[in-house]
Amino acid sequence: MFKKSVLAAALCIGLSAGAFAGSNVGPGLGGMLLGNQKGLLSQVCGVFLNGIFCNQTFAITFGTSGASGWSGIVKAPTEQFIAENMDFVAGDIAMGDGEYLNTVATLLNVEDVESFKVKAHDNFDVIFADADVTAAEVTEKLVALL
Amino acid sequence: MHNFIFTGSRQAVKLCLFLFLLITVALQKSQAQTYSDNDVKITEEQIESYVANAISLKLFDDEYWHILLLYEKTLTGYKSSVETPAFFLAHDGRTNPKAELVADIRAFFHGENVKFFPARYKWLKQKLNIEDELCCKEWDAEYVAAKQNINPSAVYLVFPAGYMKNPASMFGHTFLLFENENKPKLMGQSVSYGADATNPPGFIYAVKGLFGRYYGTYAVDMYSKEILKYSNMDMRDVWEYKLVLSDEQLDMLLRHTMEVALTATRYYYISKNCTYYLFALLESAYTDENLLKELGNVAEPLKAVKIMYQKGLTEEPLYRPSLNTLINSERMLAGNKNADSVKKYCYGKLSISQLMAIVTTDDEKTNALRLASDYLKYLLSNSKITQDQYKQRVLPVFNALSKIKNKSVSELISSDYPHKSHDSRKIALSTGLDGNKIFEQTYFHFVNHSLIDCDTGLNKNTQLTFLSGSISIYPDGSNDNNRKLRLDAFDFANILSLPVSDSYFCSKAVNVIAGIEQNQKDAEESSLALRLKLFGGLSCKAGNPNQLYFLTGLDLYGNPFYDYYSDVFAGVQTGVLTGAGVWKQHVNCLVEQGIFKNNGCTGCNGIIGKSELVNMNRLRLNLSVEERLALSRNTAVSALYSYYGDYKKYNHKFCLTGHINF
Repeated sequence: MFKKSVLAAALCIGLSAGAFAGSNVGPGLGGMLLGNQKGLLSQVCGVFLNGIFCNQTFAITFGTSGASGWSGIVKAPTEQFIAENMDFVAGDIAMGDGEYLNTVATLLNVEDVESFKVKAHDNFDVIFADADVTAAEVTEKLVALL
Repeated sequence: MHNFIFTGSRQAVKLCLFLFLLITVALQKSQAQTYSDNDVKITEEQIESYVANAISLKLFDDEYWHILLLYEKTLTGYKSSVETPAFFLAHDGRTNPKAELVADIRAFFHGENVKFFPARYKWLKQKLNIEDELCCKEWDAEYVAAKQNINPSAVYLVFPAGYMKNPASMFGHTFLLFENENKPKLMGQSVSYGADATNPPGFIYAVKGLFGRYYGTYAVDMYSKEILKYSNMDMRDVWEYKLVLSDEQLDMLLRHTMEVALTATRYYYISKNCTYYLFALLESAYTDENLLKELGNVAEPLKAVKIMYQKGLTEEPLYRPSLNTLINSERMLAGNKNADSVKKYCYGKLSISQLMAIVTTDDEKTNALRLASDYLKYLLSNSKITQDQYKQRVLPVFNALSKIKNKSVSELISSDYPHKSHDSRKIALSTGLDGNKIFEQTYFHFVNHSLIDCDTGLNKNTQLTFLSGSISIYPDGSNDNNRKLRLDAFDFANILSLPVSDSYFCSKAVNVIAGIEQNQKDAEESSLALRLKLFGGLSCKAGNPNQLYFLTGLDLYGNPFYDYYSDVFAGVQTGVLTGAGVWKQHVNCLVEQGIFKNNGCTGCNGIIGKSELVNMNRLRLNLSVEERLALSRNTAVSALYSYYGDYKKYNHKFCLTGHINF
């Protein structure tokens, strides 16, 4: 039930950032988040997304790489999602199907999802050329398939 | 709004409060200025007439007003659970619903703060029949924009099952998931309440949590991260219950969630935890259901799930198996030989080509490779292998998997629904023979699950009882002291966790008992003493469904009248649990050796010597066999035989018991 310190830190960062972002922000709850014309929930989420260090490879999802978070690098949602879920996306691409691959397809606004999944599957060893492949490289290669 | 988060020291909290007040004052001024230019024409007289109307309608006494501001009845009036000052616009708003109502109406019409309280605004507008022309569109515009962003098509009550390794999570967890209509579920937003505690030791957490020494806040996060945390790292099965909500209900739930999402409240482990504050949110949608009242003083996540399901407020649940469940399922499919080979690969003892040579068909290969990738994740998350080892081993697995042409994978399903589990409180009535004396016994626990109870929808072969006890009546006097009425035990906690260890997993089994129990003083007499039993060990399967366990540790009794204030035992405990359908059997053997010659009350004290060991004067023994038959979700009968004793005096005991959960 209890959250990790990083979670609280993330919220603090988010709240602080939001508090000074809006020009018409009032003292109400969530005001700092609503103040710059974005939804509270989506913006809190944005805090997490913006804070994720995207140059990640396999295994980062289990927090053992020692990579520091909250670097402030802003990346596209697909890249961020892949960075957080690299192992699961890779597993789905290897299988040619799965919830994580479907999510990537949605994030990339793929029209012919089935065809995209087949292409991704057939090009697995191109997309994941080595174990140090980054989320940015995976995203680029997936985009190239479209 | 820094004061929403209370993770640092008290000084840091004070500093945050001070900063918050500064920002509040500064921003209030800019706010007022912004709204002085709006086109809404309303006079102070009209505002006061709405205030008067609200008072005459007694909206401050309205249940929904209390829901929105989390007011609770106290001996002298009302008090909100929220401790964040900015949540209230009246200076005494936390304890004065009427003053808060008046302050809110006045503030809203002046355009102050209104957009930060979309639920209050909407409700007051409806209740006071405020015409649209009198309301500036901007007041609700940001909520509307937020809602468009979130675009919720469905809301789920998500239940990660209990996690015995962490005291904070033993009863499971609950949180909300807002699914975006245009996005996959993994991209949905989860709203979860928890204590702001930075990973303290479990015992510290439990004690501080019990006495409200933590603040709790809501956290908003992407659902994929919650899945990663609960399903893959904690290895807890996750159940998703889709809520039955009208558009209006969903709208009010989202508005209320936004209002309270960044507030701080006092966290209590048992009564005001994740489930309590989740129900506090849901009450805004299900106003007439009295959810918090039904939840009671012990806010168990599982109970919340059952309340929602039984009231018809959820659909049938969706199942998301944990990494542990997936691995076990894949191992069963693989068979022992292939599973062993996969394990060897994961530990670097086989190459991928050697593994592929062992498994032959495409189906076998697919399953073996999926097992390998999942087991590698487990090994990494438990620091059994390094990240480099993981990376070097997982990529060949995925590569090999991608080369298989015909991959068929069946979805793992489960009908072991949490809402089908028995209710939490229990009373059990027994009658039988203790030696040659007839006795009757009443057992009770307030939460949650005894080992012999039916474990449908629960962690298997576990015991998690709090505030349990038993009282015996011996019409002809008991075997010790000839008492007719005896308090056998009153335990604060009685926890038995028996995770299965095997060639793939090695998990500690634990038995902890803390409470007051009868302790044998000599061959004839027993007395109440504080008891702390700390046993640890392992548990394993011995052919499905038999589960063996072996525990060892210390059993401590304390009483001020003992010479050493304590009676200390070192012991071993072993047993077998087995069950099929409505039947469950438990064979248990507990052998303990007292450290002292006797408990110190009757002279002959001191540490035992060879003679006491040889004549087994302080050998405490309890052998038991229990058979249970479940009659329904909440009722069962059982029969127990035991052979027990101390000080070389041993008795046979037999009893029949009726169990009722409620």
